[in-house]
This record gives sequence, C-alpha cells and structure tokens, in this order.
Amino acid sequence: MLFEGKIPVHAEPSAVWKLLLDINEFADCVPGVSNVVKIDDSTFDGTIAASVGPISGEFAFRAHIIESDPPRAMAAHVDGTDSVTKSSMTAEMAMTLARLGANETELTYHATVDIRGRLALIGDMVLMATAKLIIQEFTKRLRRKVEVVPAPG
Amino acid sequence: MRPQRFDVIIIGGGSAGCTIAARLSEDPGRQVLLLEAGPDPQPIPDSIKLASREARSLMESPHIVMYPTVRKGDGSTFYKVSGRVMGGGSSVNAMAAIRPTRSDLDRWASLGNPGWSFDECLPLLKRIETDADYPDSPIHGSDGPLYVKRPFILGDPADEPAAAFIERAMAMGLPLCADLNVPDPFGVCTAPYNIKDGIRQSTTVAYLDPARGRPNLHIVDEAIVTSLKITGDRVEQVVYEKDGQSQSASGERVVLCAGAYQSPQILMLSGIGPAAELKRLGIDVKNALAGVGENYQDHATVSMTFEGRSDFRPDWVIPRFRLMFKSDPSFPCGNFHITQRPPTRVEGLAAMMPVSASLVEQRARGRLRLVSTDPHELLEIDDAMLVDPDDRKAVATAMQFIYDLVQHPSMEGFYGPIIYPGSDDDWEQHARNTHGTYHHGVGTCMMGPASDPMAVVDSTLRVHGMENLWVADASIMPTVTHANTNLTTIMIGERLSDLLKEA
Repeated sequence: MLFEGKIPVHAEPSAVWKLLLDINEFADCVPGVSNVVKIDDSTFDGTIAASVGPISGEFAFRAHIIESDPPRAMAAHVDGTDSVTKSSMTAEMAMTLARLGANETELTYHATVDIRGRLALIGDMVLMATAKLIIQEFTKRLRRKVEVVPAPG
Repeated sequence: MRPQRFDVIIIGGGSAGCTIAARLSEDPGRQVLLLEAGPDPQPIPDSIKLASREARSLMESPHIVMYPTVRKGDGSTFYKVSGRVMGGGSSVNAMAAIRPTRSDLDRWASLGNPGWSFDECLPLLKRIETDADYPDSPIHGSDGPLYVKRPFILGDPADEPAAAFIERAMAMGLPLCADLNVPDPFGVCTAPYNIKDGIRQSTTVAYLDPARGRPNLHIVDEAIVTSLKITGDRVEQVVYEKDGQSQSASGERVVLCAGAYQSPQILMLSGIGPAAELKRLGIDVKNALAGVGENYQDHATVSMTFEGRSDFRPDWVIPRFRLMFKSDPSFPCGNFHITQRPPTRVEGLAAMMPVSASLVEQRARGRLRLVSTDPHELLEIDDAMLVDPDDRKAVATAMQFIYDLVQHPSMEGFYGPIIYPGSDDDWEQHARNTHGTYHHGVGTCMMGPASDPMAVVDSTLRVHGMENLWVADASIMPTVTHANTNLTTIMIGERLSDLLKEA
C-alpha cells in the first residue's frame, strides 16, 4: 500500500523538524499510539490498539530513523506485529520539509506499507480508510502543536 | 482392514468430498478411500466448531492456505484463501447456506449440461437440508443432513443501525425477501446459515461424522496427493505423500474433490491439461485438455467506509441480513450482496463504518498456472476480476446505491461523511485498485460438452477422455453462482454420488 501527500503547516521548518525528532511529541500527534518507549535518539517502540467489531487487538511496532538531513529530510523504517494474527507489517517512510515562505512549510510524505499474514485479509479498503483518518488527525495535531498563531490585528 | 484396491478413491475431504464419502459408503459392499490434504482433528477444535469463533478463526486458523493474487488495477497484492482441513471450505467459511439461483442452474443446463437445470437440481437441494425455518415449504427440505436456520428473521428486533439500514433500503425500492433461498432472490434478505445451537455444521459434522464407523470407509488425513498415474484413459494409481513418505492407492474409480485451486493442479501435475503449459514444465501430456485451470471466476468485494456516528458496538462480524441488489433492473436476480460491516475503532479517531458490495458474478475469465512441478508450490492466479468494463460499471452503480442509502437524513445518526474512497474519486478505478474477494473462486475444471474446447468434465462430471476419473467440486461450475458457493458445492457432491451409484 502506498500513502503519499503533502501537509502545509504554518510554521518554520525548524519547528516542524524539532517536533518530528521529539519522540514523545511526535507520538502524541499519532492517534491511538501508547506505551511509547524511547530506545535511543533515533528509535522508539509503541503500540496502537484497534478493534474490528467484537475483535480487539494491539499492534506493537518499532520505528527507527535511518536517514536524517536536518531540517529538510528524514527516512524511517517501521516494523510491527499485531497481537491477534501475528501478522507483520513493514513500512518505509520518507518525509521532506520545504520552506515556502515565512512560517510556511510543506511536509511531503511518502510511505510504502507491506502487510504479511492474515491481517492482509481484513482488506486494503479498511486499512486505507484507517490510514487516511490517522493522517488527517496527525495533521490536525501537528498543526496545533507547531503552528504560529498570527497576532490579532 | 485396508483393502488392496478400492472401489472409489476420493481426493479431498472438503464440501463435496465429505458428502460423496458419506453417500457412497452407505453401501457396505463399496470400499471407499477418502484422502484429505489437511488434518482431521478429533474432536473438532473450538476454533472450527464454535460458530462464534468464525471471524477470529479466519484470522488465526492454521488450516487456511493463502494465495497471493495481483490486482489488475494497480498491481497491488491481496489474497485468496482455501481451507486445508477435513471439511475444507465448510470448516473455515462464514457458514452462509445459500443456494444457487434458478438463473445460475438454468444457465449451466443451457451451456450443454443436461440434468443441471434448477428444477432438476431442486430435489438435491432439498435433500441436503433440514431447514428449521421452512420445514413444510415445497422448495425446502426437512430431513437432510445439513441443518439450516436464519439467525435473524425480518421483523425480529434488530440493532438500531441495522433497522435503519433495512428501512432505508426498502424506501429505495428494495422489497422484503424473507428467504434468500428462493429461486431468484432480490431485496432485503435474511441469510440462512448452517449453524445449530452455536455449532458449525461443516460437511465433516453433517456428512462424514455419522459415517465414520463404517468399516468400508477408510479415511487418511494429511495425505497430499502429488499425482495420478495414468495409463491410456485410466487412472491406475493415486500417489500421495503421508508422513514424508510417498504412498499410493489403487481404485476402480477416482473422484477429484480438491477444490478450485487444487483439482486443476493435480490434473496438470498428472499430465491432464493445456498441452503447451505442461510441455513448458516438462510434464508428459497424457490427455490434452485446454480448459484445465482456465475459466476462473470469483466474487469481487469492494468496501466504502463512512464515519461512524454512534457508539454502536455489535457482537457480530458476519452480518445477519444482506441486500440482494440489481445493478440493472432487468436482471433475473440480484447481482450484488450488499452488507453492513462492523465498525473499526482506533483510539482517538472517529469510528469507521464500512459497507461492502460483493459482485456475485464475473464476466471476464481468469486462469490458474502451474509455477513448477512441485506439488507443494501454490498455483499462480490471474483472476481477471473487474477486468470487464461492464463489471466495473456494475460496481460503480452499487457503490452509488450504497452512498445514496447511507448519506440520507434518516441514516445520519449512524453514518457520517464518507471517508474512503473520497466522494470525488474515480470509484471504478478505486474498486480496481483496492477490491478484495468474497472467497468464492470456481470454474477451473469447467463442466461442458466435448464440443466445447474449454470443457474439462462432461455433465456426468467425468473428465473428458478419461474412463474412470471424475471431478466434483467448485471447479466444475461453468459460471460462478449468484450466491456463496458452499451449498452449491455440496449439491455437486450429492449429484456425483447419485451418478456413481447409478453407473
């Protein structure tokens, strides 16, 4: 599955970059993430809880930054396993920050996600819908944390 | 004691194989061998036995084989599945006991298959079932091995989103159809299931278990058939692996019931199939039949996900009713199953409420290809789903119907705006890129007259050009049914049993 898009943010790239590198702040922007544990400066573990009808499960993952070009580009690798089906998920993510003007940054993301195992039977449409909502919510929370609110005129 | 030679060898203990094993072993003078590739766990574990575990079982069961399949739209991968355990698909499916429609069977007959019209098959369909809801109906059975009941009856109290869904569908012109097993169902239908007192009525339970004590019925599980040894037009031996050892069995008659994926694979590995394909892999051609592995059809499923508006937390995963929707009013029966799906929830997000549409027909034909001569290697599937423009148009029509059904003031307490696909997206393309399957692959050893170059078996299910080899499973269906395929497969097993008894 491929996820890509652009998120305009009213903030300087340095402010967005700082948030992306702060594991607790970043995790706070991703809905459903809990049990965040920093392993080192570029790695953290976490879980996402989800349910489909009466079936509940937990997705445990490790995210690792594999390339960093502050404050312009970052690549990360994510590995995870779900508690119900023991399916595995790997994601390769790339993010770039482009300064468009004063307090104007465009975050471009590109992620390829590969799911192996029974989780794939749930169907891409359900997984894609979930990812779409997570990205929407991430965008809201990111903006709330870093955007510069113009002073009232 | 195992005989030197069997009267009948059945390859595959699935929906048809268990049926045939039980029926043919009724005669104590007939020695029957049933070979099943998967295990035959006794007692049946709760993960299979308890109907309430169905959805969880699909996610966890070790008895499911997953076939990676590439979508035509964007080249992404999804999976077909088959059951590898005694009972086959009937031990891992969602237990919907839905009949083929009149138009399905009449079409089979019209393709040159005498004896397969709806009216001619109705006695078989009645004989299969004990329908707890319609014991006195002239179209239903009351004393068959398979217990059938509708867990939800129209008029029963339904959860609020379901009640609103039904009411809205009726307002959009769909009639109530209390019995999905009428000849040509259409409308808001309650679905029958083969569940009795919470227990899955697989063909293991309904057919095989009552026959297990017969001394003339011999069952070998975890026996993977690798090939048939053929001399002239006869199968001389069935070769299989058991406990890592190659073994063989001889039989007067051999019936292949390994399913839509395995039956053509076993035929091709034995030299029965498209000559060029077999030669490509160095397989000695015993009987050139171009249709083996061809004519593949399945049901494509697309989902639309809406924002959930209520704290609706159902205790079901498999819906108890479905809409039989016609994308073209002139069709004889519904060509879609439209179903509510339970919500997906992630902490911090709005609930997601999917509605799915399964196209229960396929115009284009796919194919299965042998990848190698290794019998353990999965076939390659080219399913041709949503390749035909009319199929894609039909899907877009069904998606629009779902959108109009859900995005209505009467539904806004339960369904919010659409999340995925977007309302401005190209829904046809979206369906091609993201569709799944209803898991009803069929047709790969098509039944038809010898004059049809793609036919593999004749109307008595005997393989063309072979004297003692039959195929009886979902692979023989000329066209996929407008229904879940398990009951039709059992019907095929019943028919083959009659044919062999008469032969």
